[in-house]
Amino acid sequence: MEAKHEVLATYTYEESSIERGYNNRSLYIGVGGDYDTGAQGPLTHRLNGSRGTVIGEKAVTPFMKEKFVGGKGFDLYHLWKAVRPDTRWDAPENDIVISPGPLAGITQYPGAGKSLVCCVSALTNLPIDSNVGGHFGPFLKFAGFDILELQGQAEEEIIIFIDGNAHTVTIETAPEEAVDSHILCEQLYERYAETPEDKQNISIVSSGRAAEHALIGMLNFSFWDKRRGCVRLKQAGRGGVGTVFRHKKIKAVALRYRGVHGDLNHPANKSLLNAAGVRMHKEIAQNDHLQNNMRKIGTANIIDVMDQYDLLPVHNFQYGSHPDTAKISARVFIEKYVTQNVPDGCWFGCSLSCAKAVDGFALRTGPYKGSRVCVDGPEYENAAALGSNVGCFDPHWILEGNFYCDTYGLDTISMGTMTAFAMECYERGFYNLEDTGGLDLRWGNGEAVLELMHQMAQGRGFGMVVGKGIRQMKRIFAERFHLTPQQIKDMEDFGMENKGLEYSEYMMKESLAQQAGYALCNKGPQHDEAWLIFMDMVNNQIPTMEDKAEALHFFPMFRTWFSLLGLCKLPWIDIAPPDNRYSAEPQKIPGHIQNYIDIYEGVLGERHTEASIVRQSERVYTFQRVFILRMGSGQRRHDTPPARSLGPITVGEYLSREERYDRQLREHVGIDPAGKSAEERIEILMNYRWARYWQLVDTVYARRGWTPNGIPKLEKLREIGMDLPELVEVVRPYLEEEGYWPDETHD
Amino acid sequence: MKHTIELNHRKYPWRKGLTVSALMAENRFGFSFIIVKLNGAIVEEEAWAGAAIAAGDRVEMIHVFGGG
Repeated sequence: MEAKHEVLATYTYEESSIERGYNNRSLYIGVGGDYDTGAQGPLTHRLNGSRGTVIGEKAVTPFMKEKFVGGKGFDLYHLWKAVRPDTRWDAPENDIVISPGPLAGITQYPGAGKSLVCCVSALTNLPIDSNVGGHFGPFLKFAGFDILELQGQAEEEIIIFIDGNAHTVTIETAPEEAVDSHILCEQLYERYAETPEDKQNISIVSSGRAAEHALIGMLNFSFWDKRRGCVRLKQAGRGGVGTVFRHKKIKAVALRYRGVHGDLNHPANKSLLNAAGVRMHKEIAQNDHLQNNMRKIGTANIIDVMDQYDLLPVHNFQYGSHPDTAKISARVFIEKYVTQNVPDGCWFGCSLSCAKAVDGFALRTGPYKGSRVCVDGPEYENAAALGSNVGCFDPHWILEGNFYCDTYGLDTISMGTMTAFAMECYERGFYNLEDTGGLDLRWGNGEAVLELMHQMAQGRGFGMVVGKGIRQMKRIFAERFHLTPQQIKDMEDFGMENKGLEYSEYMMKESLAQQAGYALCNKGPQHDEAWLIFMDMVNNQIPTMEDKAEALHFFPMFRTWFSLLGLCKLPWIDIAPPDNRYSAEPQKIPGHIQNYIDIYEGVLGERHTEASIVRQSERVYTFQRVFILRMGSGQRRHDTPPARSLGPITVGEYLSREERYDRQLREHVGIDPAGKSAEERIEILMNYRWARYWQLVDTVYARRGWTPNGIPKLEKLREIGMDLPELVEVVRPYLEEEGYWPDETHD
Repeated sequence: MKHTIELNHRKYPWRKGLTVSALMAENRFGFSFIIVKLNGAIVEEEAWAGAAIAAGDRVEMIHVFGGG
C-alpha cells in the first residue's frame, strides 16, 4: 500500500511549550481545491505543497482566549472566518475544525480528554458541533497545537500524519488503504507504531464508506486499548461531520505522540488540580456502584430507567415504554455481552470508565459477516436508536448495528431516528415492499436496519434515500410516492427533526422544558444542551414559565462550558457526592461545580465563579446563535418542533395514555373529556400545548436577551462583550425590522 | 382531616399506612439516586421503609439525573 503513496507536502514545525493549557497556535491544513485561503486570516508560517495543498500555522490570540476560551469556541471562531453565508456543506471552504480545549489532556481529573469538532453540517447546512473522546485531542495539544483545521477538497484520497515528537506534518496520497474505520485503523496502527508498545501513542481520526453516500457521516477518534489489544473508537456523531470529511477525500488524520504525563499542560497550581482529582476519584470509587453504575455498564445503565419513566422512545417516539424492554435491559448487556473487569476510560485518568466494549462479537451480516469484532458499546443512545425506537428488542441487532455504524462512519442517533421515521411511513402504507426494493421496513425488523446501513455503505438502494435524513425524506416521499396533502402534513408532524437534524433518544412529550430544550438548540435537537426531563416532569422543580426559562438559560450555558474546556459532562452529572442531597440546588451538583472551578484555576491560574463560567459560555452560545442566523436559520420559525414532540398526534398514542391525557384536559385545560372523541381530545390538548410551548419560547428568549423573533439584542451583545462588528452586522437588519435597533445607534 | 398529600408539589391521594417506600413503589420511582424530603427534612434511604406519611404532608422525591 505504501508504495502507492505520493507525498504532497511535508511541513516541519517548531517545538512548542504548553503554558497553562494553551500552545497559543493552531495547525492549518488545506488539502487542495479552489477556494480562497486568504479568507482564513494570516498564516504565521506557510508551506505550499503540490496539488494545491497548504500547511501552516495561526496564532491563538489573547482575544480568542478571552472571547472563545477554546474547544467549540475556537472551532466556531475559525469556521465563521472560513465560510460565507451561502457556504454549503460540500463547498471546499467548509472547514472541519477540531479543538480539545485548555483543560483537555490533564490526567488528574476524570473526563478530561474531549475534542470538539465543528463544520458546516451536511444535514443542516448550519454550524454543527460534536464532542468526542479518544486520544486524538490531547495528543494534538501535546504535539503542539490547540486547534486543527482541515479545509479544501483533495483531488485524490489522502492521509495526513502528524508526528508530534519529530514535529512534522505530512500529506500523502493513499489510494489503497481501507475506508471502513476498524480496518483502516488496524492498517495505520501497524504502519505508524514502531513497536507494539508504541501503539498506545497513536490516535486516528477516520470515518467510513457510508459517510461517502449518506449525510449522517460521523468521525471516529481512536485510542489503543492495550488490555484488549485492539483499537477502540469514540464518535463525533452528530450532523454529518464524517460526510464532510470523506467529501474532502480525507481517509484519515493520524497522530503520534510519545511521552504523555499528567503535567504536560504546565498547570498553574498543581496541588489544586490534584486535590480536586483525588476528591473525585474517591467519590466515584465509593458511590458509582450505588448510583448509576457507569463503571459496570456505562450510559446503557439508563435503558431500564428511561422505560420505567415512560421516556424510552418506542416506534418513532410514539410511546415511552414497551413490554419487551427487559430483553435489551442493562442487565442483559452486562450478563451476556459486555466484557467486564477491564478499565474502560477513553482518556487516561478517567475513573468513571464508561467506554464499554463487547469483545469477540460475531457478525451475521454485511461484508464482515462471520468475523469476530470488538464493538464499542452499547451506549444508551445506540440501544434506544437502533433498538426501541425502531421497535427492535434484540440485543444482537443493536450491537451489530452499533458496530456497522461505527466502522461505516454513521451517526447512530440519526440512523435510528430516521429509520424509525421511514418505518412509520412504511407501516402507514405511504410506500410498499416494491418501493423499498424488497426491504420490509416493519417495526422491529433489525435485519432490515442493518441492510439499510449496508446499502448506504455501497451507495445503492433505499438506503440512499433514508441516508439523506428526515428533512429530505419528507420531500422525496411526497414527490416519489404521490402522497396526499394530509399524508404530507402527517410527515411534518411525526418526522422527528428540527433544523434538519434528527432528535436524540429521549421522549420529551411530557416535559415542556425539554421540548424547548430540544427545539431551541443552535445545532438542532441534541440533548447535550439541556436534559431537563426529571427536573420538569418528575420532580416538578421548575413549575412556572420563568422557572423553566431560567433552567433553559443555566443548563445550556453551563453545558456549553464543558465543550469550551475539553471536558466530558458525565463526571459532572452522572455521579454525585452523598452530601449533595443537602444542597439547595442538588441538580447542579454544586460540589462538582466547585471541583471545576478548582481545576480551571489549577490549570489556567484564574479563579472563576458559577456566574463567570456561565458568562464565558454565554459569549460562545450567543455567537453560535448569530452564526446560524448568518447561515439562514436562527429565527423563531426555525425553533418550531414537530408536533409529536409536544404530545400525542394519533388516536393510538392518545389512547395508550388515555387516563393521563384526560386528566390533563380536566386539570390543566379545564375541559371535560367525557363524550368527546379521541380526535377531538387530541385537538384540544395539542392546541393547549402549542400555546404553552410558544409562551415558554417567549420567556426563554427574554431571559437570554433575545427579541421575540429570537435575535440577540444589541444590548445583550454589549453586556456579554460580544458586540463585535461582524456580529452586529448580522443582527442589525433583523433588529431594525423588528423595531429593536436602538435609536442611539441610528445613522 | 385532608386525605391528600403533596408529592413533588402536586396533590396526591393519601391512605392510611402510606410510607415513603410504598409511595415510591406506587409511582414506579425506581431510579437509583433519589433525594427524599418529608416536610422539608431529608429522609435517609435506610429509613424509607418505615417512614410514615401523614395526610397533608409535603413529600419531595427529587431525581438527580442530568442526562448525557
